[in-house]
Parts: sequence; structure tokens; C-alpha cells
Amino acid sequence: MTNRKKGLIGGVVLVIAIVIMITITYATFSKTLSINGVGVVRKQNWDVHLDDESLQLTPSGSAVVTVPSVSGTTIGNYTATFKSPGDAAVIGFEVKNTGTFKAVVSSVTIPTPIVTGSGSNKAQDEANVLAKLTYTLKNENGTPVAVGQEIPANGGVQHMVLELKYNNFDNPDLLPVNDVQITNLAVTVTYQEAN
Amino acid sequence: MKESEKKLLIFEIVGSLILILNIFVKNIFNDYTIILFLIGMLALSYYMLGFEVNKKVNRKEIIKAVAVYTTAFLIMLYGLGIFIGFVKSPYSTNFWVLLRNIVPVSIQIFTTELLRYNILKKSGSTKKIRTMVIVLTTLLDASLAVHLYDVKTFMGAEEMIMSVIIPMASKNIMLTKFSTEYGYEPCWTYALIISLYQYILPIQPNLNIYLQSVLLFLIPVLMETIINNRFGKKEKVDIRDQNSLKSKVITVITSIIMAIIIILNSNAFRFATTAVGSGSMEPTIRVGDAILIDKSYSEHLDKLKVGDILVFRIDDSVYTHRIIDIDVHGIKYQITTKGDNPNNSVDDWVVTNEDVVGVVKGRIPLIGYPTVWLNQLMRGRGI
Repeated sequence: MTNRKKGLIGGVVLVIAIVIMITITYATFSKTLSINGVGVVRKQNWDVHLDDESLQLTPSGSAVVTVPSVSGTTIGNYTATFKSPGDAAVIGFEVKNTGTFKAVVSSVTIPTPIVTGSGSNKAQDEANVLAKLTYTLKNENGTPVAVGQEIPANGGVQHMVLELKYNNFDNPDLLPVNDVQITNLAVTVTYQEAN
Repeated sequence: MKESEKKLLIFEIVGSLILILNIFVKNIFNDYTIILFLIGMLALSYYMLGFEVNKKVNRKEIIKAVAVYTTAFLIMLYGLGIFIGFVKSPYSTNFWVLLRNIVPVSIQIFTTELLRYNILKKSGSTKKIRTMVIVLTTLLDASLAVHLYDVKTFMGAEEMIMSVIIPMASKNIMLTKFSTEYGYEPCWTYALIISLYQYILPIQPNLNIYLQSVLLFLIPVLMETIINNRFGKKEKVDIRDQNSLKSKVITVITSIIMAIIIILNSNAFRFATTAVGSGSMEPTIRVGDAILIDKSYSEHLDKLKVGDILVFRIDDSVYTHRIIDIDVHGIKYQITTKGDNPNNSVDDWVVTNEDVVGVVKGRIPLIGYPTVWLNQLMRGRGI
């Protein structure tokens, strides 16, 4: 290759390199030819929890209900003393979604309460009381909490009402003779990220 | 080194130092005071070296060729304006204002080119002298533009290098060569046409700073090639090297690639490219990829579809995310977007009509990495 040709090739390469250098420099500083935003991939978090300040006890009739504790996603133990049919323990609370993912109810577990009687009429009392108990978890509008319900992200709230009701007896002869304990009341609502 | 050459080098170095101080310490030169500086330098060069009129035989032919080609480049520049638009010239065409603009610039050009010619002619045009002439005249051009830039900041200095130093160095390399081989008249011709048209013509092509810098760099390169091919000294070359098809094809391909790079990065046409600096669209678009944007969608929002990768502005940043929902109320668009990255959730902003830049039509892997790297380096330095 002649020196002249080498010089020409060198010159062309230099010119192209300078044009590319100008291009890269302007692209770096230009707002119009700008780099994709840096803050786009944001920190994500999952946070669905019970709002302890929202807890409301509304005992009806002559029921006496102790205030349960609320911790994270758990309402702690509580006791309710029913003195006569028609009494009910009503606990209102809120589920809050302060995370960045929309949440959906994936399962609702409301157990059948366990009734434990005492004395000579134990078995009959247990059966009679159990037949008159209803244990429900409902939304504020009265509809049952169901799978598929959604809570929006970033502050979405769901109001729920947990009610344990001791219904009226048609036949007063079926009223329990001795005190009856009701256990196995833990309700579980499971949330997962909505699609 | 000859004694005269030493004296000339010292003369040029002192002149350059004065101009460097003007650029970085205190800007004392304007369009009028620079003329005094130039006349002083010219007088000193005449005293040290004497003066010889240009006696080149074919100088009229060369002047004519330079005038024709320079005018042709200007016509092409204005032809570009058909695609990118025109703007009204910021200079008044009132006769006295025109005179006030043209006269100082013309005197600067006359004195600079006489000085250039005199130094080169009388020194025997050694490489050292030619290099110093290029440095001196580039610093002269920079001195006249320094008031537009904050050279004490990194960004200001960088902008001045790209938009003034590099294009002016290219011009001065060409003019130094012309002065050495053809005399001062072709240099006057080129410099007068390229400097004065903006004062005389009422409209100018709407060139952004990038296009201006690239074109002002390339035009002297092309001028030098054309004039040198026509009038330069013919060397004995291997007959196989002359006009080979291979070299023509390489020239054409190189020119097309350069034109594409310039057009896509100028952001003055329908299609533009930008480098991607975040991973929010991975794996579809990765950091360092360059994306090809069709900007016509910003005028035709009805062409947008769910699934398109949208380029849009939010506050002061440009983002590239996929459209997941389009809500139209009359002519008002509200577009919801989300990055393809599995860690992303739906964006918490709504893109409206004015925010849309365009739609991604292609991706070139990793070609934008130097830009991303430089940008991250600047951010790291707090620039």
C-alpha cells in the first residue's frame, strides 16, 4: 500500500472517529437525545396488614367481649360471654394495603366453632348451642368476604366485620343448663398479589 | 532550527498565550478589539519577515473553484432546511446594522488570512510552523465565541470543544493548506462566504447545535479534498490505485454510514436514535442498546396501540416503556405504561398527548454503551 493511500485511509478513519465522538458527546449531554430515565425501576414491597387503630367492638345484647390485640396480620384472642340468646360479638376492622402490589383474597377460612359444655347435660348443651351459633366474616356492605376480592395498592383499604352470634332458641327447653365455652374461632384471610 | 523559524515560533506562542488568557482568565476581545490585536500581529510579522504578494499563476481559477464549491455547500445546507425547517435570521437586514455586522468580520478575515499567509510563506512552511498557525487561528476563533460558554465548568468546556474548537480546527487546517499552496485569496473567498451569509440572508436552516458542529467540521474536510484533487500536486501513484471500483464502493458505503449516523442522531428528522440507560425494559431492551424512534407518532396518537413501546417525557426525563392501556376522551389521550422488567409494576404516572415523543421501531444492541458510560461518569462526578 502506498504512503499516499495509507495517509488517505488514516484521514478517513480520523474524520469518522471525530464525527462519532461529537455524536456521543452531544447524545450524552442533550436533553432531547436523552438517556432513559434512571428512576424507573422502583423499590417494590408487599404490605397487607390489619389496621390496629380501626378495631371496633360492638357487642350486642348482654354479651361481654374482651378487646383483642391486633398485631400485623393477626387479631389476637378475645373472649365473649353470652348471657342470653340474641347476644353477639361484633368486631369491625380494616385491612390495609400499603404495598406497591395490588392484593387479592386467595382464600378465606372461617372455622366451625368448638363448643365445650360441662356438667351432666354436657353433650346436649354443646349440641344445642352449636346449632344456634353463626360465625361470619363480611364486608362493610354485608356481603361475605370472598375469594377474588381486591385491595388496590398504595393505600387501598377493606372494611370487614367479624360476627359471632348466639341466635334465638325457638324452644326454651333447649337452652343450655350450664356454661358453655366456645373455641376454635381463628379466622384466616389470605391475600396474594393480583394479576 | 533556523533563527527565523525560532523567532516565528516565539511570535506565534506569545500570540497563542494571549488568546488562551483571553479564553480562560479574562475575556477582553470583542469584534473590534480583536481587529487591533490582529493588525498588531500583522504589523509585527511584516516587520520581522517582510511581505510578498501572492503570485500564483492559476490563482483566479482556484478562487473561482473555491467560490463555486463553497456556494454549493451553502445551497445544500439550505436544501437541508426543506426537511428540518427554517428560522428567521436573528440579524437585522437594515443597511447600517448590516454594515455594522459585516465590516468588522470582513476586516478580521482579511487580516487573519494575510497573517496566515505571511507566516507560512516566509517561514518555508515547516510542520512546526504550520501546526502553530493552526493553533493560533483556532484560538482566535475560540476567543470570539468564548462569551457564549462557561469554560470554567466541565460541561461548558466540553460544549465549546465540540461546537467551536473542533469545527474551527477543521476550517483552519483547510485554510492553512490553501494558504500554503494557493495563497491568501482562496482563503478570503471561503471565509467571507461562510461567515457573512448569515448576516445577509433573511432566513437560515433550523440546524440544531449537533448538526451545526458536524457540518462545520465536515465542510472544510470535503472542500480540501475537492480542491486538492483538482489543483493539488499530482503524485506518481500505482495505476491500480487510481479510481478502482473497490475504493469507490468503500467511499460510497462510508459516506452513507456517516450520513445515517448524523441524520439519526441529529433529532431533526422523523427517525431518531437514543441510548438506553436503565434496565426497566429488560430483557426486551438492555442498558447500552440504542433504540430507533419514529417521532411521527407524536403527531398521530391514533396510530398508538397497546403493546407498542412508547418513548415519552415525564418532567425532565425521557422514558421508554410499553403501553398497557390507552384511554381516549375526545382528543385527549391518557396512556398507562409499564416496563417489561419483571420487577416493575405499572407506572404511577399517566402519559398525555404532550408527553409523547414517539414509538420504538428497532433496537441496535450495545451501540449506545459509550454514551451511557460517559453519562454515568458525568453523574458520578456530579456534573
